[in-house]
Amino acid sequence: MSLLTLAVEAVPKESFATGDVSWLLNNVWLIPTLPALSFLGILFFGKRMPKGGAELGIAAVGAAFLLAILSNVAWMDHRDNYSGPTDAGAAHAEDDHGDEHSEDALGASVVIDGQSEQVELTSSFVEEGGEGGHAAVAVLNERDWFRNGGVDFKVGTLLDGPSVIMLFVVTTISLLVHIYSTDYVAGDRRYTHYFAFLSLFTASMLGYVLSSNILQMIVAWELVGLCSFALIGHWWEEKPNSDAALKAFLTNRVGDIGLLVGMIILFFSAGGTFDIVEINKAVINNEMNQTAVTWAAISLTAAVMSKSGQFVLHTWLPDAMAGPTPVSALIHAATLVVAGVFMIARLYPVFYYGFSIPGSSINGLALIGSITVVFGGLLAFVQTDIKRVLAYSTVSQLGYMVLALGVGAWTAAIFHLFTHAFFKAGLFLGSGSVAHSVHSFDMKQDMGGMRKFMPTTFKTFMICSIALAGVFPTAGFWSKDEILVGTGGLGVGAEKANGNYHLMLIMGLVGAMLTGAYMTRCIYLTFFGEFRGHGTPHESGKRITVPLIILSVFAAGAGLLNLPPGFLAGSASSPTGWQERFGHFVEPSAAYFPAISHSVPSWWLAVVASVMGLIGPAIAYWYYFIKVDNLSKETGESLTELPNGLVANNKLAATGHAFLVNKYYLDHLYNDVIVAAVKGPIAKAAYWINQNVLDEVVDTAGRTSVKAGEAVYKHVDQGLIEGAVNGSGILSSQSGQGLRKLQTGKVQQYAALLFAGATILAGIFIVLI
Amino acid sequence: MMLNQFLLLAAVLFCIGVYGVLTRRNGVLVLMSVELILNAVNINLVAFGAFRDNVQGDVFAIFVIAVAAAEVGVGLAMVLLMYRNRKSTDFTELDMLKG
Amino acid sequence: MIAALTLAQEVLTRSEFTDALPQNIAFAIIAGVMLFSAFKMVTTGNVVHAALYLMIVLAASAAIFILLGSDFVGATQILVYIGAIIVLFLFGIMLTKAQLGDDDSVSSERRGMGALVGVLLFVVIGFALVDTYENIEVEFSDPEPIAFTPTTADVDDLPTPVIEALGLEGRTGEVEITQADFDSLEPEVQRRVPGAEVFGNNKQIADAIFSDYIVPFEATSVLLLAALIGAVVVARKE
Repeated sequence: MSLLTLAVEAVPKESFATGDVSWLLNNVWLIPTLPALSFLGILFFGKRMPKGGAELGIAAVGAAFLLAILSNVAWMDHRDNYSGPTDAGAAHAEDDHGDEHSEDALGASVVIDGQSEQVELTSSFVEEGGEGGHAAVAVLNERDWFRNGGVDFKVGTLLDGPSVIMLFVVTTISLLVHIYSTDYVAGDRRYTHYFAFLSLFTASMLGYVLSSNILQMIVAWELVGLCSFALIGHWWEEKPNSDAALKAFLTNRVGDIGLLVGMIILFFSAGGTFDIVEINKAVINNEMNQTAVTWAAISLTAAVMSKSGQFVLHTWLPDAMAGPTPVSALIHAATLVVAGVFMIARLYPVFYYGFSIPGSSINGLALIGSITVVFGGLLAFVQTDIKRVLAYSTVSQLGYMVLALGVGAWTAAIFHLFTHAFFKAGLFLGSGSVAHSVHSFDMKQDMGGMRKFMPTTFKTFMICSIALAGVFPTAGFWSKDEILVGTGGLGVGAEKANGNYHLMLIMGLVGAMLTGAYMTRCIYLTFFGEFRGHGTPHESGKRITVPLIILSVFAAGAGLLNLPPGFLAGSASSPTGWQERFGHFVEPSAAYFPAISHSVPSWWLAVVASVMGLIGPAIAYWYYFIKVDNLSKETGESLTELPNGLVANNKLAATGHAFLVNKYYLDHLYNDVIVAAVKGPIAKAAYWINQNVLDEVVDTAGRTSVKAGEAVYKHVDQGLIEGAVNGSGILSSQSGQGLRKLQTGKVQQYAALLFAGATILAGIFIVLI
Repeated sequence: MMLNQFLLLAAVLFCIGVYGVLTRRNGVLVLMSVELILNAVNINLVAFGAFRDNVQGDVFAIFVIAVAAAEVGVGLAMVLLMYRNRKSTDFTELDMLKG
Repeated sequence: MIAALTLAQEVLTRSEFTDALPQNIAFAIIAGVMLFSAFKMVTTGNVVHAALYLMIVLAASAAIFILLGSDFVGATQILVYIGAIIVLFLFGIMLTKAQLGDDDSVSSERRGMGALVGVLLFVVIGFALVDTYENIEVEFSDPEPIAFTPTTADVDDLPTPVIEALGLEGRTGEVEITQADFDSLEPEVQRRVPGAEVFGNNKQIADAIFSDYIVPFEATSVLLLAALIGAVVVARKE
């Protein structure tokens, strides 16, 4: 048996898969391999191709997309109809191979003429926990990569619900981004390089979601990080861009330490295996030390915080907008940042039991998620760069996913991941479309009134924003509502929820309110008012608008894939065949997945959430579309804020003048209202007081949220975190000055100090332990 | 035979090696002292291998020998370079790291 | 003097010593030579002498390996260290034109520092070792493993002990000897079975290196290549 067998070079001669598993499900490794090959192809031959390598990338990703669709179809068929060998048979097959290993280790003859055992293939099915009487669901294909010191390093694909849906999401977004990019980066000097890295990025993300063991996950995770570095710094000639790339890379390194530590803990406490299924089973069957599981979960959470931009380690994400916009859409909205979320979903038992999710009312994961939801939403308020609004919005939405996973609403999290990918990619590509025509991302200086120039972009952007804000019946409504119900807070759906996460429900509702508000502001500044930039913008070409239209269709309709039971038909306890389809196909109900319970949908929560989700936009609408717009018309300027100091960032030339005028105007308005109230008849007075109170409340709410967002941005984001970084620098420089005298430069003295120090430390350990 | 007689022998050898590294001025002699340290480690590995009755100790001792060969090659090249630049291999003269 | 003799007598009459007397005497001689040479190596002023003392230390440690039953490592030690590395050191000494006489006066301050660190280190290691491995003996089980390939043989050709042990009395013609049959035999009988092969632990080492430790092995080859290139790049004249 060859010990260094590369997965890609060998096609299995004989498959252990009996029964009716489709060929594709056993060979999903083809899907990441196609873009990986196209990466090499573009790298070596791209410059000589007529279209600079783009055609190869599109062809490979397109083929991967088709295969992903086919594998989704095959998966659905498999999920519903599979009746093959159970896990026991598979385990037997694996045992056989285990015997072969031990024999190989002793008998040299087999090792020498390894031809007969060139390919080692293990195909197995992981049994299902019960539902529907299906014998086996997940399709696991593994073969030896290499063995060292008695540990098997395997490479393989674990195909189940979450990976198959991620295949669809990644290839869809990637294909659309590829097509979009041919227009967007046309004429760029590193056009070929760009497409090469798009391909590699797609390949590594696909490899990541198909990983069957944690070692493979780490490799793909790091590849993804490398690609993000290369693509964020695509225009590295400008210092801020390369700085942003470095920041993204280094921030992710911080989390990667957590990743490695967590994975090592899992490897050892699961008894020396990298296998995801084995690890998950070990956790579920309580074969692992609870403390070890907790520490593994905490370490991995650090990795999730950096990769998925959770609060404290989120700072790289908005900076990463320095890359080309399609890259932002691909990497920072739909795929890369969800790597962290996907890891939680993949190793869910570790987090589920590590953080004691069932039955509690608060835990680390949910807390991080809920803080991120609100803080990200507040930060999105005060950005002038359209992409930064979307970046903070992404942070906030990722917070929702982590929150959902933290409260045990696994399916809701993956569903939100799925829907978010479409509408956020649509928003990013839409913002890119706008920026492409005005050559700037600054909403205040160079945009405004774009709906007249770019109707298609405007419509798709609107649809995606509505979906993001979670308005019935778009995709965001269904997924966000499912998350909120899943919290089980305040008695909502509590009878079947995993815990009672009151705080998470409240934070989620606040987040929903903020989401609508900042998107309303963003839309006003970009598409309404008068055009503030230069030149005449025009609608983008077909290669840009068609992906936008496709994405907005998904944004509007994807929610229908997972209608809650009881909607239109069926009841909460007995869903009919077409309800909860997403959960049915995606959620693994196997021995390696914890038995999570599912909250019962609550109609009044849906109503409350919708109302909350509409209050935010309503306030913002009142502020921008009525007050600012009226003011703009009155003054003849295209204003972006009420220039009374709410956001003292107005750089328009006439600001000073307008400031005075508006100050007066506001006073005038308020006087009018009050005077009219005093003067009018009682009925009228009541009406005016009502208006006034409402006005005040609304005004205060708007003012407060903007102030809060500003404060968080200025003090926490820019002040506290940056301050901590600078402070540690100063501290180390001063202590360095102090220690300078020790630096005699004599190497042997250094060595003596080193040895003495090590000896003393060792002595302390020996005495203490 | 006792396991400890081998381990203590290795410990003494190791400490003599450390003494050599810290006191010898000639670069070549410092490298030789490093070889003493590596040999002490090898004795430990082989002794533990014999104690545990498996060959892993031997295997790692062989790896250590191979790595030591690489180390001597590069180390001597560096001493040679130092000699060429400074006409001396005296480590006490190396104080360019002085802060 | 008397105390030393009493101590020596006590040591010499202890069972751990007398059980494996020849090995222990060999160990004592080897260890004495080794430590003396090592000490001379780090204190002598003559660089070439130091290299020769190093050679003695390395040879002594090869002897220790053989004493411990690791012939292969001992042979490798002699080939690689004494055959190659010592020569490399001598070349290094020549090329750097270090004086062949006293060149290396060690100041008392540095000697004190080194001795302090060395003694401190030995105290710590020694304490830990005595604390942990007191009274643990090295046992040499089965110094000569026997490999076996299942085979068929004519009963008439088999040695009598094998026939008796396998209960083949009275049978004629070809019989099959399986691994299970082989395992049931005493070691003394095993080595007389056709298809049995007596070997040292070389085979086991080879198996381990080329199966379990194939990746470190390959990495070592890359390391050696890198060291080769590195040494050439560092040492070549501009």
